[in-house]
Amino acid sequence: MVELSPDEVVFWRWGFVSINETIVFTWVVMALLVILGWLSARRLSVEPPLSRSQNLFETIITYMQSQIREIAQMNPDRYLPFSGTLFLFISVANLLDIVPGYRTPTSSISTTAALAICVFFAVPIYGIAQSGIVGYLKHYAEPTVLMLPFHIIGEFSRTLAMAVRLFGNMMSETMLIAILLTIAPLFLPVLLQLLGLLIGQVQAYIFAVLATVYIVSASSNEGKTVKGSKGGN
Amino acid sequence: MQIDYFTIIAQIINFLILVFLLRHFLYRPVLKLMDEREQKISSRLKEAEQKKKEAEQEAESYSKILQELSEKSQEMNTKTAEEAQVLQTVLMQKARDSVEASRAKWYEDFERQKESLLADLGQHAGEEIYAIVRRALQDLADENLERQILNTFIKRLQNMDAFENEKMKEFYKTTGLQITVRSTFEIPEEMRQRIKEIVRNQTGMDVKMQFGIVPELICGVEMSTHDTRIGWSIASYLNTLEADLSEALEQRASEKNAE
Repeated sequence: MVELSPDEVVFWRWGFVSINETIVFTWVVMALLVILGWLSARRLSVEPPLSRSQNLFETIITYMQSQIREIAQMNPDRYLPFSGTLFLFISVANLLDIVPGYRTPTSSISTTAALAICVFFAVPIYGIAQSGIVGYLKHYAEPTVLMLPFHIIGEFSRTLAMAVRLFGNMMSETMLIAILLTIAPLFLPVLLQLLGLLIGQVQAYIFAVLATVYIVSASSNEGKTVKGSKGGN
Repeated sequence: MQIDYFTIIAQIINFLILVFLLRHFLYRPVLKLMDEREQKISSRLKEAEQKKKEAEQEAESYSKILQELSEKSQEMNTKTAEEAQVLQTVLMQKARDSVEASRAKWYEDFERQKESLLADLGQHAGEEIYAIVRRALQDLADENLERQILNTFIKRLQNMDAFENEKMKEFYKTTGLQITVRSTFEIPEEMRQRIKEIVRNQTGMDVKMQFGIVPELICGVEMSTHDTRIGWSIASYLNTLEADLSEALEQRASEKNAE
């Protein structure tokens, strides 16, 4: 029987504390990202020739910067560490799915919920840092005070939607492969694996972009808001 | 599907740690580096722009200098040509002057030589003529030549014109000097007396006279005051001959020059 969630594979437990597959693979992803980043950052050079890893990271960072700039219409460096890390983490976690024995942490609702909670708190933190508490709270009552409850509901619902969208997409892939293996064990699972990789990258992009949109809309002075969440694919 | 709260908390912490680590190890150095590169590129572009401007200015200044040089060279060429023209004129003038001077010197030499030749010729011709005449006269007449000369002289004295007479008187009155009679030979005493007598008659005064021998006359007798001269001598003929000869030579020379 295939466990639906990596949370269920527990390596070590001590009361409330349990080290399961999700946490361990998250550490693996973290370690991979930090080590690669550190290794390439250690040998940075201003003048060409640039190392391959430096080129790779510069390309990725420049791309993320341009995406954030398009969304935020302002200097992207402020949002880059949060949004960029979201994208890199989800992207690498989903990419490693091709490694046998590995299970992406994003197929656990706990992980996606944790990320969504991070976004949930990041929105007011960035908003307050940008326009102060009053400025930030004001946008809940715009255009009228009547909208206040809807804004609050929106905050929670979009957080939930983010968590469930990512989890659903990643988990469904695992489920699909498990089901297909029983029906058509040859070829089709390989194709689906490829599809899964694509979906994983798309989801990483969607999650990061949505998080950026929420944060930016709460921080911008124009009071522009992006309501609700986009539907899943 | 179960939500494991511990996992959620752990994942939140994990994610925050990852944000912090990546920010520290990746984003910050890479962004800093990219900013640096951008600044460097922009400063290089500025520098290049500056250098381009400088180069353009320099090129402009060089072209100006080149133009000035070309103008200067043209000016110098013109000036040199003018100077050469002036120098040529001066040199030509000098050459002409020099040729003229040599010609003048040559002419002078020629003149001197001519004169000396004429003088020699005159002297020689006179001597020759004197010898010929003397011999001819000696051959022709019984009396000797000197006597004949004296006779001629006496005749000349006797036929003295009024002007000559007046001059002589005036000379004698004003100066009180003796009237000199020069000859190439010794005048006999009787002849001297005769001459004195004729002169006294002519002038109507008791004129004092002295006699001397002057070989330059070649052959003849001459009586002179300071500006009047009466007499007969081969020298006077020879002087006329010399003048004629000189004139003839000059005429020939000018004819040659004209050719």
